[in-house]
Amino acid sequence: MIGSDEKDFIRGGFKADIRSDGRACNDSRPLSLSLGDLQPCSGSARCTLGSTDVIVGVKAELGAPLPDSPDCGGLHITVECSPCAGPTSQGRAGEALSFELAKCLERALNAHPSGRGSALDLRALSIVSGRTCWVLCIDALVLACDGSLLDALSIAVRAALQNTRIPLVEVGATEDPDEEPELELDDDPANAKQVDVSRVPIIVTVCQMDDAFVVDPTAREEEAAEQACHIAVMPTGNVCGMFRGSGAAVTPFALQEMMSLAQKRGPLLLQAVGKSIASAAMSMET
Amino acid sequence: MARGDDISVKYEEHKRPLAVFEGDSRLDGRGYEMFRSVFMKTGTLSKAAGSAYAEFGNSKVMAGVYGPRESDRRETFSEEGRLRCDIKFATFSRHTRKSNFSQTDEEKDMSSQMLAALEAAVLAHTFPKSNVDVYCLVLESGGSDLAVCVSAASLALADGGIEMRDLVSACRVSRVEGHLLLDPTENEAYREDGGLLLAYMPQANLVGQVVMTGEWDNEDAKEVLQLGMGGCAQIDAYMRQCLREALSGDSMDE
Repeated sequence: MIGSDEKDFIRGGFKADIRSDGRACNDSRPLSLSLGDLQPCSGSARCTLGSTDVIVGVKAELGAPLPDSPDCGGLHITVECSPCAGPTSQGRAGEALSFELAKCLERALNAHPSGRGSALDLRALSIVSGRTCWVLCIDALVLACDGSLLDALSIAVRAALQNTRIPLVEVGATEDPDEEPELELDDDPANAKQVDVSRVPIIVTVCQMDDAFVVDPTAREEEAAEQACHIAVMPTGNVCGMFRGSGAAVTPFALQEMMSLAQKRGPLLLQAVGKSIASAAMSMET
Repeated sequence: MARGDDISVKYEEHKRPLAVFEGDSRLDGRGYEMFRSVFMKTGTLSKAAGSAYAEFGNSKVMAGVYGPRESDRRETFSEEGRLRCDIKFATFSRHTRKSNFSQTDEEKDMSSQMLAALEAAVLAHTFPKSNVDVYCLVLESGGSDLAVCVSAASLALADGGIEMRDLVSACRVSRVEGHLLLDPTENEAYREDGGLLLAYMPQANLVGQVVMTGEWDNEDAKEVLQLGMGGCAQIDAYMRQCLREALSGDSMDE
């Protein structure tokens, strides 16, 4: 909770295009990524954005596809806010926040349970149509919360998916189509499949205060701004999801402005993420 | 097995129609940018401070507003008033019976979205230190349920005399095979590859809640927002007419 004087101070900064940490309105905080930290997972990434800190583990498990979409794999997203992450993530409020964050990520990654319009190619996860498929369980943990949580989470999810290796499965031939085919798991890591992340979006949080639009807000800035919008952007610059957090209403004009700002920021941020992933992968090898 | 768990099995699976288009029109004969038949009425619950019933085709929703009333002791103190929203599906509202009586994830998600949409409109400082509760019950789920809930809830708030910036109306748009469909039925929304939920205040020109899914390029995004805003304006006009009729009906009774 911040007082009204501090709010006024932060808002004044937005107008003057200089924020309390020295950034301009459309500057992001420094980003750092590390990959493969979690041994028990098929893929993992930890992302720090300023002092926001999240870690994501992806586990590939075998499961049955939904009856409505027999050719699609599954996607299961959970977010947990550590109670020590910040005042907003404690108790009931923390549970509600975790739930909302998971829903937002799910909407950005997978628009529809049937896999239509999905950013992640769920069909590539199918093994035997209508019987067996890979289920990707994406579990995120918020370690420290200082604003722009969805930005950090989406970057970490993208990096963790890129880091994920799914073992090759060979399906034994059966004569009777009703018979359960035998599955053979190839545990040679050299043969493992990668997940296609070329369409996986990242989420850009934009705050609005009068005429000023602010990207990558800190927790204090989020509180001081009138409202925030979370916009999922694909590498192509296309929007693939938009959600408004709570707060004051927004004019349609401001909504369009926020969208085009996010469309400019998204690909730039993705480039930075790509570089971080490459350097993190380099440091893993050495 | 405890009572309330799955104690029975359905004898027949509900089959969806395979297509949503028949030639150039939708299965129910509507054009792409048309609503289902809309009916709304205020003052349907006698015990509530404000209430409304809304029917969009097969989607039937009851909304009740209680308060302003004393806030819960367990809640932290708040100088401003607090709005709380709860959406519930009736157990018989869908083809598959809802056997779980506790709040499902979908209900939780819809409630929080409705809260964001209404919070943007309600003037919370007009009922300090107290709560206003909005409850929606989906009697029959026929698609675009959340949009119907938001419109019904905002009508109920107006009926209950809770001060708002403007009436909030909401609508959903689905993109199916490249066509933008206003107010999709459940089957149409199932086939969508992109969707929009928009809660909008047409007179104040403010957006209360926007949820977009699927991939949209610049032009498409603009178009779908325009269509959504146009749809909300139509619902808004209907809601205002409904409130006026309720008022003139009252004066005739006296």
